[in-house]
Amino acid sequence: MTSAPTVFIVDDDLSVLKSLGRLVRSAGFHVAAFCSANEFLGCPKDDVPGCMVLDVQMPDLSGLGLQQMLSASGQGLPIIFLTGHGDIPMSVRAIKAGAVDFLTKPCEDKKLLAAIEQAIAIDMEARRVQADGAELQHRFSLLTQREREVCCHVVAGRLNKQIAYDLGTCEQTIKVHRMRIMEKLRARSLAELVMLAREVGMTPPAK
Amino acid sequence: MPQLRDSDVWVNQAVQAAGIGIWSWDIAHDRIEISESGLVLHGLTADKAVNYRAWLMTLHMDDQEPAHQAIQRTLDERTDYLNEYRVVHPDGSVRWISCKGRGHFDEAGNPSRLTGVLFDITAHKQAEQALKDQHLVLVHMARVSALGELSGALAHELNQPLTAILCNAQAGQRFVTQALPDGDELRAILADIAADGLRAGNVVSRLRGLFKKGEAVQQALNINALVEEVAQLLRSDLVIKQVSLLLHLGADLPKTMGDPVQLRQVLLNLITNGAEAMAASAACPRRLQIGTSLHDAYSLEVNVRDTGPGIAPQMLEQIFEPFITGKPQGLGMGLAISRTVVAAHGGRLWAENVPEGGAVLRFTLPIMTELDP
Repeated sequence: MTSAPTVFIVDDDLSVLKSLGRLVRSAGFHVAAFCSANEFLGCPKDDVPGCMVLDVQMPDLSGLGLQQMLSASGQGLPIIFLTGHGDIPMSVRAIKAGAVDFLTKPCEDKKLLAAIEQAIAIDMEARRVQADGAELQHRFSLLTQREREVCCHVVAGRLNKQIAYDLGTCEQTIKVHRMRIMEKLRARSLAELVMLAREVGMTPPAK
Repeated sequence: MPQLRDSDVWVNQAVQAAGIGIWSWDIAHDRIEISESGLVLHGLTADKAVNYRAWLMTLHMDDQEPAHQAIQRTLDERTDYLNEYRVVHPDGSVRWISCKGRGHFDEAGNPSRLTGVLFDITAHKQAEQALKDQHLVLVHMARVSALGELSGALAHELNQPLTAILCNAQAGQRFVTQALPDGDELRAILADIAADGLRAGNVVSRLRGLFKKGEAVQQALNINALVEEVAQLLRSDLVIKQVSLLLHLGADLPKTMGDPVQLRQVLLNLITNGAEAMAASAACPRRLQIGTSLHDAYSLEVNVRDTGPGIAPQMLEQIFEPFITGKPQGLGMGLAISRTVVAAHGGRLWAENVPEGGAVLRFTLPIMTELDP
């Protein structure tokens, strides 16, 4: 994911669409412009980081409708809404559904560009967290069944001796398992191991 | 009361009591005799002999030619003479006079005399004008209130070009600070700013075309241009109501005569009514179709068709009565006023249900003829 952030703009008014695209480009962002929600949905897009700037009132599918569809299908760039005719219930609905900002047209460039920067930062952070999570899941998947079992006991704060007894093996074997677990999960301390285990939702063994 | 048998006295008393003037024009000698009250009504005095020209000159300038023609017709066609005209008194005051008469002809069939009565109808005319003025005010108020309901959408219609202008200007400001400003880009920005400035101006002039107050005017109108104008003004309102609009405008339609402000108002009412009927029910599709066509050899037809729930059969006529409304915030004046406006233009406005669903409002307007001014 090395591509530069892209701002996806959807507005049914062609001159507004064009001018918004120019403004966003003048601030150094990549722009992809669409004149309807359906055109946006119908266009194949790479999974690039970025955000969306959506007009609320559009024929056929409104901005709020598009937001719903995107979040229902699990694909969602952060959204900034632009409206010429917004009311408070509408903005509350949009923000509750996860919009980054809800701006009124005509909008000051600094406000819009700041919102775009914020939205892109949110997207980047979400991507980083997602990538980290995926990486951690991968490390845990390297554990054998037995190592996973031992890991559960270790993070529950049990001593090697107790674990060996519980699992019906000798303390030396547990020490080896433990060393391998630390290696595979790239944990440098017991405290880090506990933290990683919590992040993937590992639960302590049933008594 | 023997004196009552004396017909002169009898007639004179009755005539004076009624405020009627009697007159007789001796055509051969061009002399007009007018009773005392008739002279007063015309602002004339008894000390001067009155001929046809002197009488004609007492009339308001705009009424002289029509009055002359009416008299010619009476004499040519031997019909009764009936005319209404304004008289301007020496002090500048204006009276409305109704004048009735009948021609007398000699044995050769030539007109010899025209005799009749005249009476003051100023009060009646004033009342008529007051009523007309009141109706104009009512129509104007209904128009302003209809526009008031649309104010959000109309502001949006103006806001769009303003947004584009602002974004373009701000983008331009950023571009010029770059090391190597792109001249083509800047030229394109300025061209777009100019175009959006014009667009905003057009919105304002379309709005002005609906807010205008005053005397109803009659002019030759292209009905399709009128439909397109109102449709453009309502574009935002229809988008907000999630209604799609389709225009089916007949090609090469003849012109009609009418008042553009009032006819725009009729179109505005019909379009917003149709859109609201659809927006009120969640289930139905929301398509509004406006069509123009020839209705018959003498008239054009405009129809506004929606895909809403339609109109209950017993309501098809009632919806044109004042204060009948299906809208919670509506006054119920829109269709009533639209019908009177169309009728004043010599057309007809009515409602039908469409078999496939929805309602259609149709109105006709007479085609402009060569006789129209």
